[in-house]
Amino acid sequence: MIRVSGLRKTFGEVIAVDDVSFAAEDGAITGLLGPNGAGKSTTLRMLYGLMAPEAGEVAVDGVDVQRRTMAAQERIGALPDTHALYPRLTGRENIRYFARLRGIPVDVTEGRLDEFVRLLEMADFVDRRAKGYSHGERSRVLLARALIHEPRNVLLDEPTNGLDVMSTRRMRDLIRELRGRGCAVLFSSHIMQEVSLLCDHIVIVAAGRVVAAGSPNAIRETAGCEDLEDAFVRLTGPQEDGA
Amino acid sequence: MRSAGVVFRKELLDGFRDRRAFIAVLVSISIFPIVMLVMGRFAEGIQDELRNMELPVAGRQNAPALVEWLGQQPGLELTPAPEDPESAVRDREVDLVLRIPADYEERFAEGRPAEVELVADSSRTAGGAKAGRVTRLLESYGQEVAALRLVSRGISPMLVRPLAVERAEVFSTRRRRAFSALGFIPFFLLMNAFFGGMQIASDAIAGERERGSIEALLLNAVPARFLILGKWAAAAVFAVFLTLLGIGTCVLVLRFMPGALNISPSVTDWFLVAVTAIPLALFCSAIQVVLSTYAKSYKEAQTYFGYVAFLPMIPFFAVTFNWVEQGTWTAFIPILGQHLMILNVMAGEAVAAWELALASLIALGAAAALLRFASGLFVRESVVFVR
Repeated sequence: MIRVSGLRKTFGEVIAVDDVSFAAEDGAITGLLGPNGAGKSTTLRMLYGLMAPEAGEVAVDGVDVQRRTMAAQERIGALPDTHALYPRLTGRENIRYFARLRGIPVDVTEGRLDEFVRLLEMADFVDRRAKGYSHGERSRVLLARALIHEPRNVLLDEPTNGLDVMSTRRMRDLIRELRGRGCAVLFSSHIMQEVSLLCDHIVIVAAGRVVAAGSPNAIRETAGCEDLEDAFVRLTGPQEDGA
Repeated sequence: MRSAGVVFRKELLDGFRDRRAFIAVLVSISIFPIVMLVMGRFAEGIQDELRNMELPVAGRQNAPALVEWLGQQPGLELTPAPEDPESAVRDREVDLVLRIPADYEERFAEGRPAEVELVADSSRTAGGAKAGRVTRLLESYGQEVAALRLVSRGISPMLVRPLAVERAEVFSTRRRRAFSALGFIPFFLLMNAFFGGMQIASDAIAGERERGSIEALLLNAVPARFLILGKWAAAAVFAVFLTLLGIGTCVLVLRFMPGALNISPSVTDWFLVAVTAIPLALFCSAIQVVLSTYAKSYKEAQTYFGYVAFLPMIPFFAVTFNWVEQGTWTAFIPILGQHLMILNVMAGEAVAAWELALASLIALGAAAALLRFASGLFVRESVVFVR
């Protein structure tokens, strides 16, 4: 599980993240929802230890990310928002590279690889160089690469961005399966439907602050709206207009 | 450490698969020895022509004695002159023509300078060189005649030679040859050491950041120093490989370069050269790792490499134009020290083992410091998320 408390990050004059606190429980899907530029990616980068917060703490399974970055990263599988593979390596080689870096034994890696190839239907392209991949093909390899060490905590930054219907469904199924295995899944999105379809717990951020948090129902109640999308607009709208 | 090995193997594979860039590096470093070889052949061709040249002479009947003397010179064959020497030389039918005017004998007999004309085109290498040789021959004929004239008047020819200048050269012949003709070898090898790892370093570090794959790479619970170490090692392997390839080319160039050089370093010499150059290749790769880490993109890295490309040239010019006195301290400045040591080996001089060892250690120490610096830079927020 991931516990975030009082996170703050500024870039010069801009306050990107301001006093953000929430938790992503084990066996649950938590959605970080917010408009573009709300500070979702910055928050996630502090969660997986690539950015240092100016204030606040992040603990992954109780391990402080700031003080013990490597130990925390061992418990995390993450898909950053830069969806890039090594173009001259095949899909399989891309996944193997990260598995080797993580020190996973070769036979274990190969077993899991075969499993992912079956699960994400990658057999047609996984042995081709990544250079010519379609968006959907790339995202499946990226996902397998992020999960090859079977992390207990999964962080996905806009995982369905630009995917077609079939790929999005496949992604949703996998996210549900991860929850079924007891993982803490945290994913960011700016798409309301996606979050409402999947999440057990929603954290809505706007202009770097948490404006609402809770189950989809609780959010609807807070905003006083029947429709979750209306609730989202009501909760994040004013900040967007700068009011 | 194990993860550094993983990074190393991946970057090597990636580097080899980047065929176009790989071939570009190979081509750019092989052009130099090819040019050397072609130029050497060309110079040798001119030497051959000079050693066995024809000299068309117009007005032979005007100076029988001179013509007879010229005819006795080895490697010089007198031939009949064309109708119009000027246009024949201009049209490149012949390289030069010696013309002896009708009043030669008359002026010669009166003791006035007897004119002879050399029609040549100095814009052509062969014409200029041949004219030079004929001029020197004519001058020595003139001196012979002058000496005879003095003797016939009872004067010793020594009287008109008040000074006899002799030079005692302490610069050994081999050393002089090494410095003039072989100066290109350390330069060429250092260029290889310097640019060999460039491709991998910029692609694996600046390129990785530009493509956006660095974020995912940094999430794998691997300390930055191992990532940098692996990437550097891959670049260094290429640099060392190209340096050794450069030594191989030098061996071939010297073997096939015609005799003018007459220097053939032994196998031990070449081995010493390799031992000197390898730590330098490691050091140069570390420089490139730092520059690639600092650069925002592949292109920016290439630009920085352009800025530092003059580094291997400094020792070359410093030695050629005698900016530095070769002393003990010079051996310990990376690049300059290696340049001088390779030059000394080429000149057949001993290089002290401790000097070589210390210079290598300094280069490796500097490389380690650079890599340490690059590791810190590599994970700096402003560097990772530059965009």
